[in-house]
Amino acid sequence: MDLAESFTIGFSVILGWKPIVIIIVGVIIGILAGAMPGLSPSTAVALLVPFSYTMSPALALILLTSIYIASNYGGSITAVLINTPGTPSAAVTAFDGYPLTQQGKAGKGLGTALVASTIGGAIGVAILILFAVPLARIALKFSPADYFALALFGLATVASMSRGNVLKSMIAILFGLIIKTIGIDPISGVSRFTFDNDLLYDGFTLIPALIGLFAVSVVFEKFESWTGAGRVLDKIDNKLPSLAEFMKIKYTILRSSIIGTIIGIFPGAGATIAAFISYDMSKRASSEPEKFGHGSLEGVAAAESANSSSVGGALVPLLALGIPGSATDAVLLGAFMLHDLVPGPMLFQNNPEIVYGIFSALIVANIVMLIIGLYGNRLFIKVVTVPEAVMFPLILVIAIIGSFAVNGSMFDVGACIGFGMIGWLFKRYGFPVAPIVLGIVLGKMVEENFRRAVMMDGYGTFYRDKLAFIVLLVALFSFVWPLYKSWRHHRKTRGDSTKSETT
Amino acid sequence: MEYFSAGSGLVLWSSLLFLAGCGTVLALRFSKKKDYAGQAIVPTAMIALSLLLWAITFSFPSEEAGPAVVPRLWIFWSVLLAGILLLFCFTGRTDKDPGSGRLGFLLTGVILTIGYFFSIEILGYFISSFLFLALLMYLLSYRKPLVVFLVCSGWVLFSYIIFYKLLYIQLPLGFIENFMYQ
Repeated sequence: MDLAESFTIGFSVILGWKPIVIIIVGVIIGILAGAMPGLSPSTAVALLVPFSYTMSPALALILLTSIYIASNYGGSITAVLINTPGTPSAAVTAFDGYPLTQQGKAGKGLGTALVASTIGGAIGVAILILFAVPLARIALKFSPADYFALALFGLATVASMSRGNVLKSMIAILFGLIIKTIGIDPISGVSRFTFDNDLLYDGFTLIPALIGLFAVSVVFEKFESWTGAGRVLDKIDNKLPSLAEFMKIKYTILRSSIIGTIIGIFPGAGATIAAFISYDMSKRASSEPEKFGHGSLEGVAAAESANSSSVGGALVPLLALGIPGSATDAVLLGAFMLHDLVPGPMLFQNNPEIVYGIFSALIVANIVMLIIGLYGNRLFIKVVTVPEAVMFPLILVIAIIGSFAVNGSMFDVGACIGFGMIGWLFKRYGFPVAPIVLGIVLGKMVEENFRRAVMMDGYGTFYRDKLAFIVLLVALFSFVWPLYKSWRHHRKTRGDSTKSETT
Repeated sequence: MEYFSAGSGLVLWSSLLFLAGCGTVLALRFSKKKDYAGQAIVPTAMIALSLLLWAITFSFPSEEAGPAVVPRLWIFWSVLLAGILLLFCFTGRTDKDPGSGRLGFLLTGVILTIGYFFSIEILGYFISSFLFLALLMYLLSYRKPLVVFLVCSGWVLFSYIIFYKLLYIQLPLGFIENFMYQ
């Protein structure tokens, strides 16, 4: 099937009032969720997965990917207006966006963020289509040993690229992997770690665990740091940047979009790293670097185009190999599983309408985001000012009903609250929760492929299979190098502090 | 190790691990490195959990690439890495504990959430959700009765229409169900 034919199938999925309404609703929810500080794109997608339960798989994934792409733009609204990034990646947007608001040019900041997000998102989708399709074709030839090595590489890069303590990220991944071993063993049928409790035979259901780790833990964190302070928002102007101003930043948008997509492809890198690197590179390439940090439109454009384009990049390994490139992709992988779909090369063969439906929906979602953003920003700003005292209780009831809806089981609700508490504890002591989720979603792939490879060809298969061997070496390097760097950093800082104490 | 993999042996093993875990954190709490006691909770719990599961793996059939292989692999790395982190806690080579926030307030919120979980079975989803939302908003110092009422009843109405009627999710009705079928 050629690309044109595939896209005909893709667009046929999204043509009709129902998919279009779903895309519009998804974009609005995504922008609002992204704009609310404390709600990350992964939280927003996790909370909405249960709502997609009774939809057809294609429509459900169209809804969730529309939320995903729009939430990255949504994060910039509060970053520009009140210096409170709605998403972690929007922190870079705030560097120049908020100074623009202080100068009375909030409209220019928001307009630049919107256009840069739209163009970045479109470039990301274009690269996604160009990369994912051939990669999926190659992946059809992969052996179980290759898949095991790739999944392990995915886990390794997540651990190495996570901010802060690498050791803690690895422990979080291992926690997720161990949790995934609970239940009936998929190969031998032996019941593992179930304590003869039939509720554990299928292990922990993924969606309640995701909702607990991403949404409930956020509310518990807010409880601990509760000050009762409301949100304050000044009056803002709504004047958009001129065409001449857009033309001045066109190369920045283009460059940052490409950088963002490429960084997004690497599992674990994510939108935040993409935004930081693009911002830095744009500053170096700019003819007015001194303006960066003081309200530069180039700065806003670099950050926003990079974080939006990283969405397309991160979807490449998810769709082509079944390896999530970011925390939100891990949640999306859960949504695929909920609808009995397995992302990877076979998805392109067996369900082209899903893959090309998602591609087409992402293109349309970008256009919808531009239109809604141009006319709806003022309204979104009002919604975002909903008091936290109302928003957080609502998040909890949505989390509870969402967990129950998956299987109609109160056990899942209990698991959701339990994972919420675990998530809070982990985050309190600097352990990221995204690696736990990646461990849970990749655990099955790692174990099944490892054991199949050994059963087929013995343990020697991992060095006889060249691709598996190389990828395993790279994965090993990805595990060891950041640990070594962290150890050296600790040694250096300890040496410095000892020196200063002596002097 | 097979004795500890099931029955009374497993109970004994888990009790020992629990006591050892608590002892480790308490030892740190009352030592010179007390600022790292909180940091030790997660690695200690990970080691205890891993060792508990490790004992259970001895009840699995032993075969090449069998059901025990991968869990043991994760357990090995987990004990090793959590052990290193625990060592860092004892030597003060990791981050110090964060300042304690409003833990009492958090505990109230968590208890309220757990209470909500249990009340769903007794009072039913709709009544419990209304009460939970109202109580939590009150706890978070929101004092606009009309808005509270509108938000609570709005959510109940929304969940009834979307989940109960449109998505056919059989939300627990609690004692209302008994009245309905009497």
